[in-house]
Amino acid sequence: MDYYKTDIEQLHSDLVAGKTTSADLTDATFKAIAAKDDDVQAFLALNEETATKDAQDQDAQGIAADATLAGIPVAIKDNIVTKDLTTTAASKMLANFVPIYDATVIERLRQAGMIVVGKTNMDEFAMGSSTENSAFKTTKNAWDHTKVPGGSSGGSAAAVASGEVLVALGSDTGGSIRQPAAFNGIVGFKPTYGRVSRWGLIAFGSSLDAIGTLTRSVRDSAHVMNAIVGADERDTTTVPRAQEDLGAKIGQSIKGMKIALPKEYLGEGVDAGVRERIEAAAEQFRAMGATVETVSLPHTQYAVPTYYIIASSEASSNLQRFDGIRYGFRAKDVQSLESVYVRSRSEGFGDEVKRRIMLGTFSLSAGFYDAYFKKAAQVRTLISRDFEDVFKDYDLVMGPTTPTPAFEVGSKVTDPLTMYMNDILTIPVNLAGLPAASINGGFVDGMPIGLQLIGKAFDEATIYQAAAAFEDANDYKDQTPGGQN
Amino acid sequence: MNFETTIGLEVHIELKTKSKMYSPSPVTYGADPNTATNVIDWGYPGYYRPQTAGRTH
Repeated sequence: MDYYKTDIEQLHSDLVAGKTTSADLTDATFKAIAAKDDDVQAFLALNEETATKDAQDQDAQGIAADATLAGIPVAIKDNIVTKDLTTTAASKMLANFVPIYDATVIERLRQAGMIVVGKTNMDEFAMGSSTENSAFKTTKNAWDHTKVPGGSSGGSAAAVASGEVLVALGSDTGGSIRQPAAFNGIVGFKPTYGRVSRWGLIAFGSSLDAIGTLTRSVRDSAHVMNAIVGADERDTTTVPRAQEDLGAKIGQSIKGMKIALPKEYLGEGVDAGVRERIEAAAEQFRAMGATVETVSLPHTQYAVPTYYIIASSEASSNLQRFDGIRYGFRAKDVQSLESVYVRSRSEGFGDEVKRRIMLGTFSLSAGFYDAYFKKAAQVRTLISRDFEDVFKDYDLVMGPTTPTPAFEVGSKVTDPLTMYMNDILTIPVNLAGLPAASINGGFVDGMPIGLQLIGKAFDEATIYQAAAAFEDANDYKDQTPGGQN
Repeated sequence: MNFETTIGLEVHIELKTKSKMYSPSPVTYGADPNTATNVIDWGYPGYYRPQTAGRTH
């Protein structure tokens, strides 16, 4: 079994026809991980014993013809809680933490028959763009092990891109699914805010966080998204909607589709090679009968500072619960209650997490609230309005996912501001709560770059339609990291 | 001397609900320890607080 040469629909038909079994797929997945993960370092925990049993149960039960995902292995980012399987958020604070419940998305994937094979590495508490902020290990880019896999869902992206698993879940607060997908040449999908329940996602910025997929193909992404969407009373931001197939328009022509290309997304700081690939993609869309026109999202330049105030403020609140008392890391040899809090948090959190807690606490503090948090919330509205204006006349917004291809391990980790700027093209989408995908947009000097497609709220179907058209018109999906086949 | 009178009231009310204020855990007076509790009450990683307060049925 070679994940580079198959997809969900193929595996499903093989399972139904009895050409393979879930137990075989699961076994092959652990063999692929054993062969590759010493180099890639994508996984923090493996679920071998339970997954093997789950797969055997699935086989015994039989794979129904309409259970598209049944029996297929999946990897999960380590900030999504999994019952009886360690969930650390890549933090020393939660090292060895074993949850007693499953996140809603895990319940839904299990209900669909998927086999959870393990937990993937990430930036601590999803704060970072390179997975170098993990307290445990440095994951490598699937295409070049001297480069970062992106972040914060870098483990999920590298696991999929290096052929260890076919699909993985990630979370996206400011680009944490799309940016690593771009750096690894795969498909990353962030749904509309409110589309997928976050019950069981270890919260970072609750007004921004979204759970989505990392896959090798657009169709695989739609299959997995369809299984995890829907209202959940345990996350009151989820929106009840009639059942819909997000992939319903896959395969339809994009003739007549109106696509906007914001001039700010090809501006200063965007690598010339990346710009060339995006302009070529625009030409391809035109050749398929779509119109692509230049527009302006004038407040784009304010997105990064706005995001770092809002996300850090929310993080400083969400991370208060890690106090060393009820679960997780507790400092040793403490003499007072206050020192339990202070020393547990000082020793349990990494530098980037502390930086954001301090930034957020400052932004929310009396005397600074109006100047920082309130101002950021107002600018956020302007950024949302930029998109609303464009979507009056257009069906989709396109652009690069990141300004550059993947960078070298160690090159930016000591310079937070440069690292933050890497997310300038993904952050506006979270601030506006919109759905977006990153798909392989071709290669620059042998490294993949991401084509980002942004849709109207709850119009994931149009993103998938254009993404599939682009994927089908190119052979990027069939190109795989060299030397690892 | 000229004082301004300010009166504050601290009111303790026992709600007649079946669940806790911001959690679906049951309110059962005299129940065994740790039997009327859940991940929300513990501030567990991954929990979200429901916006609806106290079930009455």
